[in-house]
Order: sequence, then structure tokens, then C-alpha cells
Amino acid sequence: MEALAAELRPLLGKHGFLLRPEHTLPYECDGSTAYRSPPQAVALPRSTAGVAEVVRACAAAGVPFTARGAGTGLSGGATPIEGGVVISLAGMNRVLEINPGERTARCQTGVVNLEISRAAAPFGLFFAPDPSSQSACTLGGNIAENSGGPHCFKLGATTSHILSVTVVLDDGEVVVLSEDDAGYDLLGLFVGSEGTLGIATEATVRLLPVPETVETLLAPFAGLVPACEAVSRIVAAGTVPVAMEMLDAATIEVVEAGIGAGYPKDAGAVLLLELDGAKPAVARQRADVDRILGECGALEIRVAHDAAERELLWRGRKFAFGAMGRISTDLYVQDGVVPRSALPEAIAEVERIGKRHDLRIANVFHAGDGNLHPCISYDGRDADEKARVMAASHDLLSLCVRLGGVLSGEHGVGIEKRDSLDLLFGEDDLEAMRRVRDAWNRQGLLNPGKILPVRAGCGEPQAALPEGGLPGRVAAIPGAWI
Amino acid sequence: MAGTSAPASEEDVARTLAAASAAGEPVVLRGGGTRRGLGAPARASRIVDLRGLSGVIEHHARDLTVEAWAGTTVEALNRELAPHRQLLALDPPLPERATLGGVIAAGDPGFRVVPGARPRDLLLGLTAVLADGTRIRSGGRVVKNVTGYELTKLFTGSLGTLGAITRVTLRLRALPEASRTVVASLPVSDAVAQFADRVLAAAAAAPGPAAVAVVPPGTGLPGLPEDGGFRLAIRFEGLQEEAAASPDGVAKAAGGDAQVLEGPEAEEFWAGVRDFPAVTPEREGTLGLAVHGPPRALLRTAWRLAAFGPPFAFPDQRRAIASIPAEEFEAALGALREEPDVSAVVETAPGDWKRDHPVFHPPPSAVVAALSNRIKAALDPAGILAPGRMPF
Repeated sequence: MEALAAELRPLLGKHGFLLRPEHTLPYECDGSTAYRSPPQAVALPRSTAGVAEVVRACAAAGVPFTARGAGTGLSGGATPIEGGVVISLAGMNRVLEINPGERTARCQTGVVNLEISRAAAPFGLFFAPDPSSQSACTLGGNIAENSGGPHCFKLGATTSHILSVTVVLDDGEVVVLSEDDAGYDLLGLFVGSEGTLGIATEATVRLLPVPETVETLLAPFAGLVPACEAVSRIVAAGTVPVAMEMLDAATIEVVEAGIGAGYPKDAGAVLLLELDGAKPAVARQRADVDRILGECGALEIRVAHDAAERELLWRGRKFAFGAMGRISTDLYVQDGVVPRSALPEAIAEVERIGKRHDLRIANVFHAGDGNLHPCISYDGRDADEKARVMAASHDLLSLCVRLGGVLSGEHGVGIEKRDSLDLLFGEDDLEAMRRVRDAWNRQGLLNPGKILPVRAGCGEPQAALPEGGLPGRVAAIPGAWI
Repeated sequence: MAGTSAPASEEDVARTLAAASAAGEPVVLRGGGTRRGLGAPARASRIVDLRGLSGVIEHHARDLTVEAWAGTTVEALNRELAPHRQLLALDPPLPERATLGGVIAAGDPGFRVVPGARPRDLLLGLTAVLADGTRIRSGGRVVKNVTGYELTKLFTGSLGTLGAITRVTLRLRALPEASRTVVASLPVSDAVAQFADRVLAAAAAAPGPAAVAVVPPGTGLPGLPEDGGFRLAIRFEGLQEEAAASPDGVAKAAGGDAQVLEGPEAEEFWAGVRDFPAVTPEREGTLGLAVHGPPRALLRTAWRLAAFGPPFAFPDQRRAIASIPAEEFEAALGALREEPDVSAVVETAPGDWKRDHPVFHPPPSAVVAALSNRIKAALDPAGILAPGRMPF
């Protein structure tokens, strides 16, 4: 590692290659803090050429490396391998160009997600993906995880909004993958590959026009089942709200105790719903939505009349995870997806799983997408409780697969779910994925130990699994959507 | 063993491909054959016709998703969905013949706007048989999914070179309540740069369009009086109120008059736009070009290509298609080279033309070619699936 430092410091500067443990320690994990593994070194390049130099040096030395944006991920995607090098893109954080006529932005990938929309706002444009902690997470992380967010129900996840990426490949070679390329959709393969196929250093993203009008509604229900029915019927009617978010009674209780967003405390569930578009279209959507909510038993329909009221309605949703920190020392959030129509069954089963393992599970989820986020509050110091969280976690993932869903909707597989991938895929499916990965990650040095189950005895490098495989504790960031 | 195999089941497909792999015998996969000219000529004597795998496997009406055999035609699927008031919003040429697997393999984006309506956006999951007969699944049947590598994206536009798509799971939408198309005339006098700026400004004046197409003069499409100029066609669809957008804003920005097409006339118009790329090869001696690039450069290229043959442009898709007489190809390439950010693919060509001419202009970089070849080798190590088609 000293040899790497000697080689790279002249290029990166004295503070561009960190070796001292007190400097590298903050890079030992991402938002899922149960997976920790301190890197040997942290490189802080300032350009694509700089990233390429670091990769070239690592490849020559046979040292594994992991790219990192803001480290807000929740599946261990940016958690390094023991003895590896973290390549931080934090210094590459500029919006380089906004092209309002063509509705694009060219950015370095260390740019914070929200900064893109800020830079585009004067032109009446915005960047659609709005994942967890968009005020902290980076574009590069969004590309790596194919991040979602409430707006992706209508507008699509990150992959729909990336026009091209500049990628540093496993040997330090630089390539631009573009939507305009003929041949294979290499860009589509790259987005969501969690830093295992290359490191994105620059991207051109699609911007969308800010809608003419937005309406935010809150509908309390007696329980989750009629609220989920309303969600299904709204979509079937051809209305496409821009977001449909659900909170159950347990979450409402925590939110009201912690924040006081004004949600009705006696409700069994609240549905938070947002409509956008041209004024006449939104008025019509509103009429349809009101009718369906009424038919499905909404106890009332509360409408935000101005920006402050809208902010308050969203506040409860945004701060739900932070509020849960008040009731326990640790919080584990899952990310499984079920078909929308299976939501009522899924929710009932989540409750049974909680009872079976004697755990408190609260539900707050992206209802339009069927993207569950069961939140398990527990005390990480209690070994027995930890074991029960583990068992419940496995039951929850199995449940999603049994109902026709998948393991992860927006957080990625990372370390957290890689060994559960066989719940969904057979060995032949995984082998095809492995061959594709190895075709671009030839020495296995690019973010090893992520996405695919690690095969024992194959010499494949291991990323650190926590003691006892404990699921992650969420570093709840204020404002996180999750 | 030249000829055609027509497997009747997924197991048959697996057996056929495994045998071909073992024998080192190259094969070409085919669906409805509507886009079989795409890519470079493949060196294979045997065709595997996948239309025998047909029909809906499961329609999850409440989730707006469907799983179907890949040999099902787009039109047959939409016929089955119609009573449920649902739609697969893919608009490949000749939907009565185009199969779902073929549309995915061709990656044909149709005319609807992006993001949201391309095959890559609507394909949620697939089952494919690899060249050695192994069956694999990728994706799932939910919209939001980041579980594992996106092999679905790789198969989209793979032109049958990575595996035989046997089943697909697709995202559906509710049948629109209403649809309306505004067609604005663009001034004939516009020079190239002005033309591009005007189209973008006029398209930006349309809130939430479902399709945006620049239509060349001389197409004979319904509803277009012939004055020798381009038209900008913008389709609105959805709820009544979403489709009711006024043509005035678009007309004003376009600098000409505008008319509204509705009902059968509008459908006939869009069917003409949709089928253009597949009808081209039937015209003697013409090349079908697909051009890709940033909207402004793309529109300028379309304007220049109009000197050789009719170009349709879809600026938000960053794509244009044009039909050019083969003997004018060199001159048309000159027009393409005026825009360094634009690339072109010869999609269709008469007879043996492609054997003597490159298909990609410019060719992909050496690095892109190497990355592509490594993926091909990973999934088809024997190299039996349409060898030569991806001209890397």
C-alpha cells in the first residue's frame, strides 16, 4: 500500500490518498452500518483521468477497490472489502452544463442529487429520481443502485433518466456508454450494477419540465387493506398519481409522537398521494381520486392548500425513519417488492411474521410500486433479539418472492441480500449474471463480494459479513425518504 | 442441416439450440420477420422460427402486467387485453406480424415519447434459452426491481445474438380514455438551424405529450395537405382532460397553422408513422437509416437528409429514421458527418448491399466493441447465434 501511495500521491496530492486509520475509518461502511470493513486506503481523485490512474494502479497491484459517493446506501454497496481501496468521488461534485433546449444536464457523478434539480430550476426543469436522502446522496450512487424514490412510480427509476455515462473500466480504460449507441444496451446493463462493472465519473442526465400544478392529499383509512384497495383502483382507472405513499398505525403513532405532522392518531393507515400536471388534467384526476377514496372508505380527504401545508403533510413521511429512532436503539429497514394487488396479503403476513418472532414491525411504503419497507425496531445489544430480527428478515424476503415479487426495489442487493438471491433466481440464472459480470470485471477487483452469492472455496474475495450476519442498522438521515 | 426449425415449446427451443451449439452450427432466431434486415448479415444457414411459442401465460389485470410467450404478436396481445381496457403501449412496425420477442430483440422504440414507452422501459422480466440450451430468467413481474444484473436490458436490442427470448413479462397501462393529435405546419422557408430550434420550441410548448414526431413532406399520410414542408405531430392521450390540450400554443411556437386529428384519421396517421421503417425495404433500391444523437443535431441531420429521401424524427427519443436511395448513400453520409455527435445505422438494405458496405457510421469504438464481444462470448461461447450480426 505504501508503494501505491508513492505512485498516486504525486497525482492526487498529499490529501488525495489517505492511509492513516483515523482517516480511513469513516469509509468502513455505508448507511447499513452493520457491515463494516475498514479500507487500507482512500483515494480522492478530482477527475476522470485521476480515477483512471487509481484504477490502473490498483489493477496492476492486484488490490480490490470500491467506488463511493456519499455512502448513504442501505445494502452495503459502498462498503469496501477488507484491505481494499475506497475511491471516493466526493471531490467530483460539479454540475458541468445545463442544456435547457435539449433538457439535459452534464454532471460529475459525485454531485449531490438535489444539486442537479437546483441548477435546473431556473430553466423550469428538474431531475426526476428522488431517492432516500436526495439532499446527501450522489448521482454516482444513484446510477450504481438504480435508485428510485416516490416520484419513480410515475417517472421511472434512475435508469430511465441517464443518457450517457463516462465509465472507468476494470483496467483503467475510459469509455462513454450512451443511449445513442448502436448495438447492445451497455448503458442499461451498467446502471444498477453497483460499481461491479466500472466506475461512473461523469453523466449526462435527462431533465423534465416542472409540472404546472401539484396537489397533495392525505387520506386516513380504518386500516391498510381498504387503503391498498384504493391504490389498486386508482391505478386501474388510468389515473397516474406522481406518488402514493402509505403509513400504518404503528408508524403514525411514532411520527405523531416525534414530529406532530397532524396525522389522525386513530387512523389504521394514511395514504399520502400527490397529483401533478396541467391544471385541467389535475382537476380531473382529483375528481377520480376523490371518488375512489370515498368508495374505498377514506375517513376524510385532507388537501394541502399551500406549500407550507404540503410540506407538513410530507414531513411525517420523510421523517418517519428518523422518528423511529426514538423508540429503539436500532432499526432495520427492508426493501422487498410485491405486486400491487398482493399488498393486503403481504401486509397481513408481515404482521404475522412480527408476532411469530415477537418483534415490532412498522410499515411505511411506496404503495403505488408495491415497494414495502417493513421497519423492525430492535436493540442491537440483545443477542436473542438480533437473532429474531435475522429470522424475520429471511421470512419477509421469502414472503415477497412467494407473492410474485422481488428482494429489492430501490436499495440494491449489495452485501445485505446477496446470499438471499437464490430465493428468486436459480443457479443457471445466477451463473449467467456471473459470466456477464466477469466479462467486465476480469480480475474480480471491482467492488468484490457484492450482488451475487460468494462461492466458497473459489478464491473469490470476501466482503465482510457482520458477525452473525446481522442485518443493517439504518443511519436514519433527517429528510430521508427511503 | 440448412432449413427452418419451428420449435413448439421452450424445451424444443433448448434442444434445438443445444444441438446447434454442440455441432457448431450457426442459427438465426426469428419471430414475425418484420425487422429481419437489422444488423449486419449473419452467417447462418438455419432459421429457428419462434412463433410456435404463442399466447398469454398470465394476465395480472389488477397489477397491469402480463406474462406471454414471446411468439405472441403485439396485435394479438392487445386484442386479448382490450376487454380489460388495458394496452401494451409498444408501437412496432406491422404489429399484426411483429412478435413480442422480436420487438424486444429489435429494440424498436415505436413512436411514443421516452422515458416510459420503449421496450427497455416496459420489459419487466424475461425467460430466455441460451445458445447451449440453458434456460435463464431475469427481472421479475414488478415495476420496481433492483435485484441482480439487468440482463433484460442486454437482451433488448440484442438482435437474437445472446439467446432466444421465450417468455416476456411486460408492463401495461389503462386504455386511454381519449387521444388527440395536433399537427402543426413548419415554415418551408426555415434554414437548417432555425428548423431545429423551432421544432424544439414547439415541442416544449406541449405539456405531457404521448408522442412527438417530425413528419417529412410527401408521405401521403392522412390529414396532411401537401405544401412541401415538414409537419410537427404531437399526440396527447389519457384522461379526456389530458388529451384536450389546445393546438394554439404549439401552432404559435411552430410559426404556422395547426390542425387536430382525432379518431380513425389520427390512428391511420400514426400507423403510417409506425410502419414506415418496415415498409422501406419493400421500396426497390432504398436504404432504411436510423440516426441517433442529441435533439438539435438530430433535427439538423433530418433536415439535411430530406434532400435524399423522407426522414421522420422523434427528437425526445433522440432518433430519426430515413429512407435513402442506395446510390445516394455516399452523399447522405456527407450530410451525417456534418454533425459529429450524430451516428447512423443502416437498418435495411436491398439484396446483398450490406455484404459490401459497413452498417454502423461511425463504427463503435474499439472499447465498446471489446465490451460487447466479451458479453457475447459470456452468453454464447460457441458463437452460434447469428454470428456477424453485431458488426463488432
